[in-house]
Amino acid sequence: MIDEKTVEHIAKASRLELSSDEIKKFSKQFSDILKEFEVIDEVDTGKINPCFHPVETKNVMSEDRVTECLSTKQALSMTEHKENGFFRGPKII
Amino acid sequence: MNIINKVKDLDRKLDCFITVDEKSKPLCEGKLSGYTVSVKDCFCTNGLRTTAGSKILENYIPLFDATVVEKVKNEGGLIIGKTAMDEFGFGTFSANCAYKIPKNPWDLNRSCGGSSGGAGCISAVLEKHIAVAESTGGSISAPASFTGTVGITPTYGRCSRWGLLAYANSLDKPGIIAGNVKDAALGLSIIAGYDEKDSTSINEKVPDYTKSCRTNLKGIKIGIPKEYLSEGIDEKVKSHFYKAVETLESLGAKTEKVSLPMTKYALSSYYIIAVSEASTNLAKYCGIRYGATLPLKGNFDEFASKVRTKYFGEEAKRRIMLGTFTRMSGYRDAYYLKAMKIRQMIIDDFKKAFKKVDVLASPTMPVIAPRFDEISKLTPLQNWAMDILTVAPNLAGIPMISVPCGFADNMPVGLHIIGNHLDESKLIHTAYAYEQKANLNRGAEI
Repeated sequence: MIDEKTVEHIAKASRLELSSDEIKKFSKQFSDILKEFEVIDEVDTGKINPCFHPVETKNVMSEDRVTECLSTKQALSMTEHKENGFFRGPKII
Repeated sequence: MNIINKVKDLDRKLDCFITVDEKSKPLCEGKLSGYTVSVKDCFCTNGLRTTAGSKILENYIPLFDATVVEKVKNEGGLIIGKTAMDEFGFGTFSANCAYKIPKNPWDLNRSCGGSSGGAGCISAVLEKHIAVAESTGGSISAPASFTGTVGITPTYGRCSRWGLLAYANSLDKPGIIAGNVKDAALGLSIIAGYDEKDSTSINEKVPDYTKSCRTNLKGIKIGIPKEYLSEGIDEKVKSHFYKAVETLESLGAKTEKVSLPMTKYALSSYYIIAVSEASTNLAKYCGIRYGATLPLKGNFDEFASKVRTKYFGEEAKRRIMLGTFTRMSGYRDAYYLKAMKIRQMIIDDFKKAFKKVDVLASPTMPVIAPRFDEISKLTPLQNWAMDILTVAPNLAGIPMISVPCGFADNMPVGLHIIGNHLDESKLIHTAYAYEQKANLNRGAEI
């Protein structure tokens, strides 16, 4: 069961704003979905290791060499928030 | 009519493109000369708008090509545009689109499937066409099944994910949709291969998959997983599947029943892993460096929340929040880690089956393409349950191909053939032999 307070908390952590109607709706939906997810509790996963990638990859190294990258102008070309060759953002604290 | 005008005309009727590239020209001569190519809108295309089906990237024009796009261009493919999709791939019906919802060419009131709906749609109506698509949990197989086309989802890592706008990193797989097996095999031969820019791509030689297009199935053993023919599968779909099995047997294949006991847990495990990864991937969209934005106001959290709330659609918000929850301290072990362990057990199930048989066969989707009025009545859970046959092989990262196997209520039905890691050649062989014998591929008339 995910109550409305928990929905508000995860919305805030997800950087999303919800109306009170949306909080109610998601609370109901998430509770239904988590109830369905409970099926996995039946499985004894005792000694099984979690599988982070379906195909095993081992210590993939790349050569350390200088390659081309985006210019400052290119990197800033997709935003209106820029100043003196830097991205401009909202205040952090 | 020139090809771009033809594509624009089809798009007016079917809403299958987010962006049509009117200025496209082939870069060179190559294996794709004479073909048109469409690219799902989640792959970056240099100088051509790339939205991933989301308003949060409405004006994003990449400065580079995804590796699979570069490969297509280097073989002389004429890229005609970017195909419609569910926002960030979040859907089974291409109904969660921030732009146009593609209509099924066999019945305009029905879905093309998702999330590569536009790719399936255009492949059903345009000859000599190869659609570059992508699957996370079934996004190539579902549209192929619903539109009567061929969709191949290769092994995880067979095709580079560099330049792909990620949904779930450990599940995303670039692949191909086309009108027939041979064209799909050609497309895969071109986009597959190791890429040093994607550390999860597989460093193995790529065969010429078109050479696997052979018609005799003698010596091939096909397993039929009993769990994939359970109660939830439409009877008409099942009956076409059983006819397809008879056809495969008539070509020399041996069939036998197999069991994949972990199937019951695949859907929940898939969604837990997919939303967990999606919620971290989508955290980067905050309105500062690229994508949709608003005037700078308030602190970072307030600003980013305003941008994300305004531009993400409902399904994206649902998956981001649920994924935030399943990774949260106190819940992570019970959901995310547990699902990852079950994923390993699902892989073990498949590996055991592939010790006995070469490939597995099942229906691709449990139903024919639903009508939009039916889809609008589904709850999120009912929606997700439609992926019941495709999520397990996608979780296991094993390859699969969907090929048309008949028509129910005048709508296409798909046969799903699933193989072991890197066994794409066997899938293509089996699917091609079946296709030639069944002779059911025909383009939709529009």
